[in-house]
Amino acid sequence: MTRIQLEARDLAIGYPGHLVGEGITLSLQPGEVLCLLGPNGAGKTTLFRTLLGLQPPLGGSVTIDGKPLAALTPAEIALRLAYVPQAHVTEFSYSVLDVVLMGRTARLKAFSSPGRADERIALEKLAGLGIRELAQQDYTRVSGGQRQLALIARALAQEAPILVLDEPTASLDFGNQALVMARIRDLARQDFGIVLSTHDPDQALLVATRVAIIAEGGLRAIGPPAEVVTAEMLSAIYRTEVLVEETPSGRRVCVPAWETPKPRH
Amino acid sequence: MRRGALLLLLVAVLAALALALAVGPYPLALADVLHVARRVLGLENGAPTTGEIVLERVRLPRIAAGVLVGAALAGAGATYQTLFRNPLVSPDILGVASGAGLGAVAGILLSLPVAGIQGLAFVGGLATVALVYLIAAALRGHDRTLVLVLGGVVVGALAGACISLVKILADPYDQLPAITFWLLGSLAGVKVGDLAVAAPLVAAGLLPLVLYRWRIGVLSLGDDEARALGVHVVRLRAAVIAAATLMTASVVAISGVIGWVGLMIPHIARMLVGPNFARLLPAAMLLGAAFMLAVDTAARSIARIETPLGILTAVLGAPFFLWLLARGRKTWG
Repeated sequence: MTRIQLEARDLAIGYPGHLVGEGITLSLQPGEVLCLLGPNGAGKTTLFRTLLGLQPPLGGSVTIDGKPLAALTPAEIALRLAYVPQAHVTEFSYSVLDVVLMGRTARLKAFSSPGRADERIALEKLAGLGIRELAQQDYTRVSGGQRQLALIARALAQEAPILVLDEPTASLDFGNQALVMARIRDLARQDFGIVLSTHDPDQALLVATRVAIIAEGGLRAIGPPAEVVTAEMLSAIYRTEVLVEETPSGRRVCVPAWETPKPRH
Repeated sequence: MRRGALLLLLVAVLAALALALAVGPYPLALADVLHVARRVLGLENGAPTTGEIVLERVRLPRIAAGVLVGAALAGAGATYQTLFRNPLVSPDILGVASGAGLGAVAGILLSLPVAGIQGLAFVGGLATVALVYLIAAALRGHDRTLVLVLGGVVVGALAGACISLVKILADPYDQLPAITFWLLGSLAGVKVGDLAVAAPLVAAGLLPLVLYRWRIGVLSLGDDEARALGVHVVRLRAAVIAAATLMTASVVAISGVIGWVGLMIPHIARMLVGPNFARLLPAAMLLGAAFMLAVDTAARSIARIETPLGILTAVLGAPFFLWLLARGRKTWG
């Protein structure tokens, strides 16, 4: 049986007096990875902020578990939907554990601080992502990949069934990108509903169950990666010739269509 | 280090208390303290000694004022630095000190009694921050934090200009020295009655900060993240600003403007106990109390006349900040 967790219906996004996109309809089910692809400035971030309830839609609606987002308090939203921002450096040097514990905020009473039980959960989530040993380290001094994993751990500590990740591999090296993508795939297998935005169509091919193309004022296409991430589509939205080819191991990869330089002898 | 730091700070406050009790133009002995304590308990009768009178009427109120002012300024500073995610922020970031200053100098110009000057300072401080907050709320569609800080700068500068105008209008022999002295801060004139009014107001401001200690820390991640983590950002920020402003305005009204404390002390506290607000707030308040006691003790003993506190804190604060800069860390404490 399928259950729709997150749904946007005929959504118009933007700021008062400035429409960024409209007619956006999409939905998310548990275990799905919905990948948002689109060129710079197409409105991915605005769509994200609207889905998270950080800015109101200009039209249409967002619902979580059938409830309109506008009718929920920040805490009620946080219990259902966890946000993973791009790995950033905080102004103050919190420990990794402090950062993860902040994910427990929506589950605490207004005047309380996290207790032992919360700490156990936070450490569990860190262990699940393979960075348990970083708990007491300074969050501002661990690597970018570790910071991103810590933010994912924070979202998991929130214990919300939907995860929304904003370019989770931006500014990560290749190894860390692969690591983060592998964790995202694992989480989808644990039945989290996942929305993620990315600049890399290869990532969509790696982990997405569905891909939404955001370009030029709205939703250009949505569907399984095989149908949406095509040479024609990518060439059109990124305005550069792109090839989508199959590797000998049967995977599909995206490359720019110009010839790569041959090694000289 | 972090675990024992609060205890260490408590010891520092007690040491500063002992120092502040003993040192001054009229040196006091432990015997005087014991006499006063016995008299309070009704164990001693007869005429009090000079030492006892100095202790009871002059030094104890002043020490209590030092604890209150130092703790309130450092606590408000720690709060604002966390709220605005900026370690260079001080309690007067939203114009509370310049507003209180304007109120006080207006009171001095009008030759109001001390209580009237203090009342105007308190109201001026609150009104300035309220004005800044309303300006920020009216300018929608901008970065709220940025508009708040810039609004504070603009309104603060305006209040500063008005203070200068009052200085020109003031009587140069009588009012102008009083204005100058007030703007540099002092605990010399603080009476028991002032404390009885200011202390409950500081406590009222402190209460929400203690209750929301965890959520205030979450605000330091920025508006979007805090909201996504379930914090009602706009509401909490308004409450926190109101609380920290109340604390600051209450003490500025009785002590005048004492700079640097609210900027420097939260830094040192953060180095000692880390940035976690639930620990930072008590650490900053303890350290602020100890620091203010030490500086005030110096203010009344290093020279024949009282040295204004604002001068001493600036002399200590400026090199401290240069040292911070020289350490050249990317993050603060």
